[in-house]
Amino acid sequence: MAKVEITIQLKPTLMDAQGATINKALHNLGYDNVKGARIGKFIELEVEGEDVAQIEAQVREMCEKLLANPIIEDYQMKAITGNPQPEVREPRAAYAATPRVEDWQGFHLSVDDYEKLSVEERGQLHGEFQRLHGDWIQQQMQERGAKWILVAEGEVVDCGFSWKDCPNSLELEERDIRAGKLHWLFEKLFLIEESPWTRLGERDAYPSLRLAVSGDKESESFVFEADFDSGSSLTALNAEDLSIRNLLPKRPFRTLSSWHLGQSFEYTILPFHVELTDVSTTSSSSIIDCMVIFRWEGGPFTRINPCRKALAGRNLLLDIPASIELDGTTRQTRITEVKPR
Amino acid sequence: MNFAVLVFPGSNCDMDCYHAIKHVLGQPVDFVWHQETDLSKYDCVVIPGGFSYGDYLRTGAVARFSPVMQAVQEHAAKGQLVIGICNGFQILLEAGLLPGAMLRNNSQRFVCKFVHITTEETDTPFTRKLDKGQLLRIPVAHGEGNYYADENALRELEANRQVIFRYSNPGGEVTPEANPNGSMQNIAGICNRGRNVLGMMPHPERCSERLLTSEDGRGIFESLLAGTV
Repeated sequence: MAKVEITIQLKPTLMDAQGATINKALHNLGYDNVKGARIGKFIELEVEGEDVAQIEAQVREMCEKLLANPIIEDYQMKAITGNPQPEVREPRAAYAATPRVEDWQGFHLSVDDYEKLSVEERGQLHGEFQRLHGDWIQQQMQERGAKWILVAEGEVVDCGFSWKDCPNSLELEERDIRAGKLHWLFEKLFLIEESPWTRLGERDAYPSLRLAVSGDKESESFVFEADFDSGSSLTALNAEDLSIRNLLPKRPFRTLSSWHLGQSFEYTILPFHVELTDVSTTSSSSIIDCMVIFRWEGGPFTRINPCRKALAGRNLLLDIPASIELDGTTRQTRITEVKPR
Repeated sequence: MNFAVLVFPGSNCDMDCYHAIKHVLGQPVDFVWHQETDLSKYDCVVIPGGFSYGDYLRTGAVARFSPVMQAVQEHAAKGQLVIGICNGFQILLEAGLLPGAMLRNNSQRFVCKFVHITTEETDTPFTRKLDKGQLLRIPVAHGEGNYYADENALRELEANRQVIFRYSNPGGEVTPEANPNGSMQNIAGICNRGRNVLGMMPHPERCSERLLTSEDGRGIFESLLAGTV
């Protein structure tokens, strides 16, 4: 085995216009002491064989036949024997090197400074890390099969397999103070780009998601716009809407009672087939346990948004992983990507 | 007369050649893929322009080893007609069917424009319908058209009247200003000793119809048809 290096150059009597151009370019860079340049070709061959002399003879033939044009080119060759390792050349360092996870500014913020930040600023920081190191987050979650990870100073310090045992903000604060460093929570729900939401007026609507809900017979589905509230853990549907479409089971079922925004309401929990469709018309669906709310109109769920037809919460997106763009200012919601199961 | 237009990976002027021959001249013509080894049924083989094999290593350097080139050698040896246009000329040079070699244009630029060429010799199957000294307004489009041959080869070319076309100005004068690429002696096209193989850098297939603003290339194709061989 030999590595043969071949250099091919234009015959010295020929004018090398390329070389002349490079010569001038070097002068333009200030290297006036360059008095000539000629451009050639470099070819590296790996040739199998025992006899170096034979290899050399073969390569010479190759040069004569193909690699060099004998009318206009000269060649030189050098055989290097003894299992040559291909040289691994480090790629030139990119001018903008990718930032390291551990260098992210959020990990070097003191707890006190963090407390001084506004909610928006904190949200922005969180979002920045997602943007810079989203794939690192994904990888950490995938390695652990986790639904959420807790990161401090670039290291994963905790993780969980269900969103139910995800630490809430109080618990996070405690951890921060105890350890003296900030803990950042990243959840594998979905990607949401959210801008801070403020109501624009009385009858202002939440950003909404289009859901297709059906019962046992998937063919009879009904499509509606559900307000998307990522702060809500459950998905709530209007019992009457379901009833008139025969989506409520005929058998009697027990109703439960609860409170929301200072008002009591009655509900039951039933599984429904829910489908999400993204902008490229890819769909994915799952059976989701939904809260079926009785007396929807006038109840607590229509307090903030009287036009609300249904409420989509985080549980929906835990089972149907999707990427959603929410824009609180324009009220646009786009399901940019749904991953089919 | 039966024409074959060879097609290599990277050829892109094959369709223009086919069109000129089939629709403008009304002659039977086939596309022949570079793997073919039998050209016996053809009278004239056209090697079209383009970037065969991406011009890797050198233009035409790899194409010359395609299976069809062996058939082209035999075809030429029998005295049959071969015309190489642009990349085709480069392939013929690399294959040794024509003497010399191509270098990069001295301007280092790809030149794409109409030029004028003078017809130097009219006793070839490619120029017999033209007049000696006839001016053709014809487009070139190439990055490596700088023809080179060493002293001896050049001397032979001149002695045997193998230079068929030279770049000239609209007045018919062969001047350095009229040379688009720096080729030696303004050489734009040459033929072999047997005068049955022609290579030329300009594109006659791009100016064989009034519609394409110049019909001057037509004369070359009509010359081909004007005799038995």
